[in-house]
Amino acid sequence: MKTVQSNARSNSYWMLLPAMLFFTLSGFAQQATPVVKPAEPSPVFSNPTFLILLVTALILMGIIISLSGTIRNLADTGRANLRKKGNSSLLSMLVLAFLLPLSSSAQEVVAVVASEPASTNYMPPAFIGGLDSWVFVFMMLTILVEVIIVFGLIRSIRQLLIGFGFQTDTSEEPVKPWINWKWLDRQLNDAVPLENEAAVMTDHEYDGIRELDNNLPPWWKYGFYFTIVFGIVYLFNYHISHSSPLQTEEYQAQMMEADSLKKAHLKEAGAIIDENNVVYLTDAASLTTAKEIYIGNCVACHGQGGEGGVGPNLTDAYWINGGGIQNVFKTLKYGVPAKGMIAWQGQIKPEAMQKLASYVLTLQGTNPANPKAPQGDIWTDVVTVPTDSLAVKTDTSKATAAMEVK
Amino acid sequence: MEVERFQYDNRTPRDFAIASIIFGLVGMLVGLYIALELVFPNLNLGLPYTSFGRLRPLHTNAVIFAFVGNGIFAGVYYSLQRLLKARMFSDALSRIHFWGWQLIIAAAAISLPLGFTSGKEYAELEWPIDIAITLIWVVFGVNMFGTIVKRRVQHLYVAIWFYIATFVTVAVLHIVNSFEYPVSFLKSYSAYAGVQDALVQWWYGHNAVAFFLTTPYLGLMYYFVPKAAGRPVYSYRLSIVHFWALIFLYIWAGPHHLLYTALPDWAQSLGVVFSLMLIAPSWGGMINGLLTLRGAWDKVREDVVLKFMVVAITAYGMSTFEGPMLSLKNVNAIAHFTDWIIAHVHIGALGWNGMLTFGMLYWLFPRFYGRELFSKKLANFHFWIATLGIMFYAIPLYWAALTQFEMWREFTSDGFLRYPNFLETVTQIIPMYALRSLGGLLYLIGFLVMIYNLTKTAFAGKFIPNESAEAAALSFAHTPAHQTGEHWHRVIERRPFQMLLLSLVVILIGGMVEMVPTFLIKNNIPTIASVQPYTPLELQGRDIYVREGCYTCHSQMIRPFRFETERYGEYSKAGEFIYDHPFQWGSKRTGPDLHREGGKYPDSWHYNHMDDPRTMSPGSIMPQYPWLLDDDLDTASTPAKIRVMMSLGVPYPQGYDKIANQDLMRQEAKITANLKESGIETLPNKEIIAMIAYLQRLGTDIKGENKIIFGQIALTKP
Repeated sequence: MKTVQSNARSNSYWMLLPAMLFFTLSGFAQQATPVVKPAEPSPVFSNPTFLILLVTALILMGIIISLSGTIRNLADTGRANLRKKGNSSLLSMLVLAFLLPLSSSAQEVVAVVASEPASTNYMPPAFIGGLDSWVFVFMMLTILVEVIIVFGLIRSIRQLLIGFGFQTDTSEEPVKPWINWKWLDRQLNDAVPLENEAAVMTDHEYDGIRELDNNLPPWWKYGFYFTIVFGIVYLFNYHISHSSPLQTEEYQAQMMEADSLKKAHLKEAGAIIDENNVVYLTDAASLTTAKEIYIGNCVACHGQGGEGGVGPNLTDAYWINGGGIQNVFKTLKYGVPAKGMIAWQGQIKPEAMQKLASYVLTLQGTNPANPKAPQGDIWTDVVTVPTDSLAVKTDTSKATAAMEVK
Repeated sequence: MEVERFQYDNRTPRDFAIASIIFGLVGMLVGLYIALELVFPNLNLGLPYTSFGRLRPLHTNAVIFAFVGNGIFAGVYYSLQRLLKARMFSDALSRIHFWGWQLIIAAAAISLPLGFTSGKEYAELEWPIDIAITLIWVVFGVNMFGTIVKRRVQHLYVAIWFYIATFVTVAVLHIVNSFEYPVSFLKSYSAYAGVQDALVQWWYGHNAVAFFLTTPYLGLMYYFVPKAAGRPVYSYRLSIVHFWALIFLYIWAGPHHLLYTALPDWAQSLGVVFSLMLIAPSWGGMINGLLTLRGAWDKVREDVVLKFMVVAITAYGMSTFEGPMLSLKNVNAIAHFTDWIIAHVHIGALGWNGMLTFGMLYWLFPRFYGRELFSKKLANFHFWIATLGIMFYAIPLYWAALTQFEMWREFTSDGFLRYPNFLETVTQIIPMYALRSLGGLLYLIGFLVMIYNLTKTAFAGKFIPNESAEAAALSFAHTPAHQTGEHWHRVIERRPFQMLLLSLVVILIGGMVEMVPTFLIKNNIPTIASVQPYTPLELQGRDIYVREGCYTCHSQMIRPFRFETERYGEYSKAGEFIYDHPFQWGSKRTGPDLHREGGKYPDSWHYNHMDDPRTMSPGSIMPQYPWLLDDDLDTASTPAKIRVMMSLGVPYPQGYDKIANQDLMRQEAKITANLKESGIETLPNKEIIAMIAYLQRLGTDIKGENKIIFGQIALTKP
């Protein structure tokens, strides 16, 4: 980095402006991100994909530094006018100088974002090599910039060498190119060679612009014909022979397929939990998951501790739509749109809803601060103490209803 | 032959060039600002005028009609005179055109943030401005054709064919799409409704891309590329074939913006196949541009003007290949409503239009001011940072689009959406939005460097307002009917008015074939008996929805996919939109679809959500709308609105306009009471109440439970 700063002309410093701006912005981002859980140690550095990318970026960085060092040395030994070239590539190095530290500040942001549970009961999507996709994209773009700079530097060095007479300028000499462009031009484009251009020159002239009359490039022409044929076949296929499904048919097929998949799954997994067979869960794992769901979705209306707000108090013994696991589950699932409760069945899976309903019931009697006044009727559970363990097993719903919830 | 001396008018193209730069800066700044709003949703500072929904139309209008528009006129006024060897027909018309266009832009810049919008994408300006656009466009046409008539060159060069096609098609598009019925000085309703409105709008929208962002720029390319390269145009025949094919085929392609929507299948299919056929004609332009550089590639390495143009043409080739691919239904399913489209249009706007404009400006300014460009190095820097900016802009958005789409459609094995909460799919891509802003910032930095460079050039030189030229007069008496051995197309090149007419005929065919059946054949839009007009309060709420530009982030079109119907409900049917003047299907889902929003959430949820979305959906990036809670609803406009709707065919009972406000107030009272039950105290005459009424009605008619009796709304509790 030293080489960069020592060589940077004062007029290059404004390049740092965007860097500073972005730093400020990423600072904002950190503040703006709602941190629900304390940030865990960044997983990025233990990620192999990230390490490969980082190492690539650093190697390229090293190449750039050594190349620009070469340019500096060349320029020092050479004339003052050559120094200019060195500086122009240093200008681009500055671009990089702000890109690299950026990526590390980016990681911090990622760490914060990554530790935030999206809505907890769902796994966050796995992306490129377990790397948050935007880190990946950012690193790839950084590498791309570096590659471009390396090519630019190599070019400058070649020109410097030519300038000193260390190397002869080969650009004037006919070199056999990797790809025979002339041949390609002739074969693909059916173009008249440059030297015979006069043969296809028209007599048109507009403000000095002349027009050749080369043949239409065959690949272009036949490509055009192909798309026309494709168009006719497409229309025939959908609207005359009806051999491809139109959108509603496509949709019906999709739904039928989904239906059979669901049925197959049901056979394997057993019945889906609903308001008739739901049971009250008390295990710590379920309740912890449920608490996260609650915090993600319910606090807006029911308060952090269930004290109520827009929605009713969940900690008292009064219920508008009935207490007990089945009623609470039902309220969660279908909502009470007229009263302001959302139907959650589209957003929370039945098992998760079961956990959530259980969690809500554990709030009973917790006496949080600022409780909302009771609404609805007092709910008294019909406590039917099971006479023997067999009864509990055979009739779970009854047992649940009987659960003490105070 | 007698040689005539005359002078080219440089002032008009110079002024247009400066206007293009100024408005380009404004448009890009607004773009960067709203891009950052998606990362920091409170960036609008709680003001209505700076909220995303109002500024996004300003951004698109500024970039398309002000930056690119002025760029077109700068290039056309410069090249047309030289290609025709004649000064512009009338200096007065040139002035009127220039100032008229700038006034229109100023009117747009004021009216859009204030919320005066017709709610149709890329045609948001209200009816008085629409009329002004029409008049100024006619001025442009008269000036252009006047110049053509007094030309000193017998044949029209290919660039001018493109200018003519641009003129005639934009006129047709603008007039047909702007049929709207005024309610007041700055409020109107689109004359079309629902599916028909959507078809007309996207016929317009797509061809605004074709005939405002493409054909005039192809014309500019045909002038500036051979000029800068000093090479002859590659193939005259290719020019002919790709010109006529392009303008004929382009006009059909509009429905590809409406794939998997309620538009009839046959119209969608036409959109698909004509879009695919467009690859070759579009690429014809690219090939003719790039192959013109045969034998001049060494120049491209040195000359910054050519560098910009090569990247511009390449970007044009990329986006015109991407476009037809996006028109394939399965690809479109991914791209429609996601950021893919945003990335795609920016390859076009930043790459094709932006880079070509920059190349042109770097070519023009030294000639306007009679000196070399101030700094080639800065121009090179601009070139590189702009190219990088485009990549930093587009790549994150492509990524965001694929990520979000995968999340939208993923199901768990037990048949539930894996990400049922739409918000999760948004928060996942916010970092990509941040990266995209960085790309925009890089591009903007390059733009600022260009402004500095051009300003320095201008101040160091001396402006040449009139450039002397000479040419032999054209003697029409000697115009041959048909010379032997000449290409048959030369005939039409001598006859500008026939060319105008022929272009008009060619571009009318596609539009007519698609529109006439959609309007006239009834079974294209099957009616649904239970669909009724909006109540007066809902209508007012809908106007607020339009005013706030909700359609810029929310669609109202559920496509027939399992992952959409599971998330939003029954897919949208054509018959549900018959009273929607204008349609509000939207084209982007930054937020979820709202077509079946009605009844999904309680009134209180909407109230709190509009006040601050993050209280109801933590992490949401929707702006706050606190002003809806404070501002009074303008009920004085209700009768006029009802009357206009009735003249557009909405079946309110006779004389309903006089009693509509009674219905409105009863419905207000009902919602207010409902809110009170949830502990929210508000006066009934607030805008939020109308908004809630509209949102709660959305997409519910199809269930057949809404029994609205006009004149007796909310008289009894349901």
